[in-house]
Amino acid sequence: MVANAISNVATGARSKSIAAVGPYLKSFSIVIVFVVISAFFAVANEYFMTWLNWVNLLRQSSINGVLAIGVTFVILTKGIDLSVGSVMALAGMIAASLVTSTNQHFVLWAILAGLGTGAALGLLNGVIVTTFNVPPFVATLGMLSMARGLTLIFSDGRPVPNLSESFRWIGGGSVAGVPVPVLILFLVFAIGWVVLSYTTFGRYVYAVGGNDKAAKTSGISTRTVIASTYVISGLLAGLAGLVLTSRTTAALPQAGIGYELDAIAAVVIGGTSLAGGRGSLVGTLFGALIIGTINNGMDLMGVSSYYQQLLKGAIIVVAVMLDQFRK
Amino acid sequence: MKVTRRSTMASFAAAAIILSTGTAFAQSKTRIAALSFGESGEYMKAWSSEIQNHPAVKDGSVAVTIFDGKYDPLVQANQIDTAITQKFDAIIMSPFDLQASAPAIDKAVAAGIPVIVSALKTASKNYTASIIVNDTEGGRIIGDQLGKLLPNGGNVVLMEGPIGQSAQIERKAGIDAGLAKFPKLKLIASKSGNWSRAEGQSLMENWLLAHPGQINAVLAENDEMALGAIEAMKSAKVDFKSVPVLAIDGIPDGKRAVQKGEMTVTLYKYARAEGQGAVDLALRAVKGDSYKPRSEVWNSLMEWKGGTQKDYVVPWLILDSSNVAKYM
Repeated sequence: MVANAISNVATGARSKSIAAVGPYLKSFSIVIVFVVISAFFAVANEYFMTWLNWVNLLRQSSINGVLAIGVTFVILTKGIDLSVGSVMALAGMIAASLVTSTNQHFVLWAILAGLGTGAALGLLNGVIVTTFNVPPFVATLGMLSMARGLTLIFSDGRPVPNLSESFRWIGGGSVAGVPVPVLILFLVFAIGWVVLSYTTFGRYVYAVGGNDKAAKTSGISTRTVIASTYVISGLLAGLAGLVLTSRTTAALPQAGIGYELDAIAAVVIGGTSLAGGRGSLVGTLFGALIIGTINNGMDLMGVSSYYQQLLKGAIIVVAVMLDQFRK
Repeated sequence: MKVTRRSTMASFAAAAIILSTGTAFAQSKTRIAALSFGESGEYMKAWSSEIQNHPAVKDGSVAVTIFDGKYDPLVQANQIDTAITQKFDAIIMSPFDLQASAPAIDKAVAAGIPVIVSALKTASKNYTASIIVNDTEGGRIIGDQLGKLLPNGGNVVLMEGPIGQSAQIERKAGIDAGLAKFPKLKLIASKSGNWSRAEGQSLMENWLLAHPGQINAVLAENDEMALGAIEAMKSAKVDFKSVPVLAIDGIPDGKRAVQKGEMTVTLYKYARAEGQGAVDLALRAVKGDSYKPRSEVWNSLMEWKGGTQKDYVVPWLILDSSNVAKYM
């Protein structure tokens, strides 16, 4: 009964803006943008279409992709998570400290510690937002600074190098020619997509973002749903921190500065509305790939980084403008 | 349908912008990837323009692509991957991080691409050659200069770089060694100003309040922080020309301050030596024995020694009011 009502709320919220085929058309248009950009770089640079370059490109997009998937959950509930860059630094730092040459534990403990750190900080974000009614922007802005502070305190401002071989596999290894970070990205995407599309929790997330009050009246514990999205975002930030630390083979206190902005950009380019309730992980995945492709393609062509920044900003704005036309 | 056409058009517009700014390259040229650790910093910008002004780049026999590392070791690792994929003939890298740069450099060398490390150190042992100033020596020189400026001793404050960065560790070690020879100089405060002018300024404001009238000299591990300290002394109405300020790097603003008599000494890190010298070392690695270096830095400043040494040390130039005009 309740579930039925909820599903009505959810579809009601979504059908306002999109027709029945809407979601397909929408994810389709972002794919077209991606294909056009790729086609351009393929013509402009002979190395772009090589297998090796695509492996590079996917690996380069994996960290931002994982972060962006977590942030998508939060943005779908009309929230925002600015803390993911700092949270990933702290998670990576704590995990790394368990697998150095002087402090050798099982890699599994390091992984669990990193993921646990991310989830715990995410939970704290969630509680601050839902129980204490602090606006998400402010709560996670505070966490951005606090998590960075904790990282510096924990590390005394020094990098943690000499990580064990098995930990370095997370960021540097590959399975059948596919880099592990890319596998992680696709796995996270698949799980996230199933959760958002086929589970009750997924429908709650859309319902809460689409119409908070309606969701509440139909019996959804909106607080729990919203807090959970921050836990997911924190958990995935922790995971991204593990990949980052492993790839750079040292945990750096300054790691991940500004990564939250690229993650939010990927979500926005992917068509998820900052007003909540509308968007998809397919869009986010391609949003992250588009950012990765632009960076990679322009590097290949030797475009000055000053122009790269200008263009990246312009593409974000254009993406949202297209989103407005669609409405 | 309309949406699709619009998005396609937007993409083409974006593509047109890229095309107009992109640089074409010819296959016959020697191609060098230059990985700057951050193009928004003044020194790195000077470094990459010196590279682009190398005679071999100017006459078109070498094509250089500058990559901006954006102060992020991950970005630099990605760029090394890109340079390997693109089959560059050589890589010049200014590694942002000592440790994190090592696996990326090892990977490029394993792929058969010579890597010349320039301006900052790496923990990797496999790089082809390095061309870097000696930061410890720089620290020692300013400690030494201060000892000569204040033969009767005095109270000194020290502004440090980000704790743990190779330049901070080495400059500090040099300063300690330099000051050790002058027991009358007393270090009364020292803290990190993170290479930043703003942080250096507030640090100095706080010290002026904590030690009124007692600070006789300022040492800073870079020019930016020293410039902040000078600003703080100006606004606190301290007779700042009587307080010697010594720093390292010789950035344009620093040199201007020396010229105006506000800063006493700065050590000039010659971007041309680290940049163009690295281009010659890269070309030597690509072309072999027959290659003769073309940058003027090998004429007087440094010895070429066949271009086969592992580590080249770039000397510091001591700038004060007597010689600064030559290097403006």
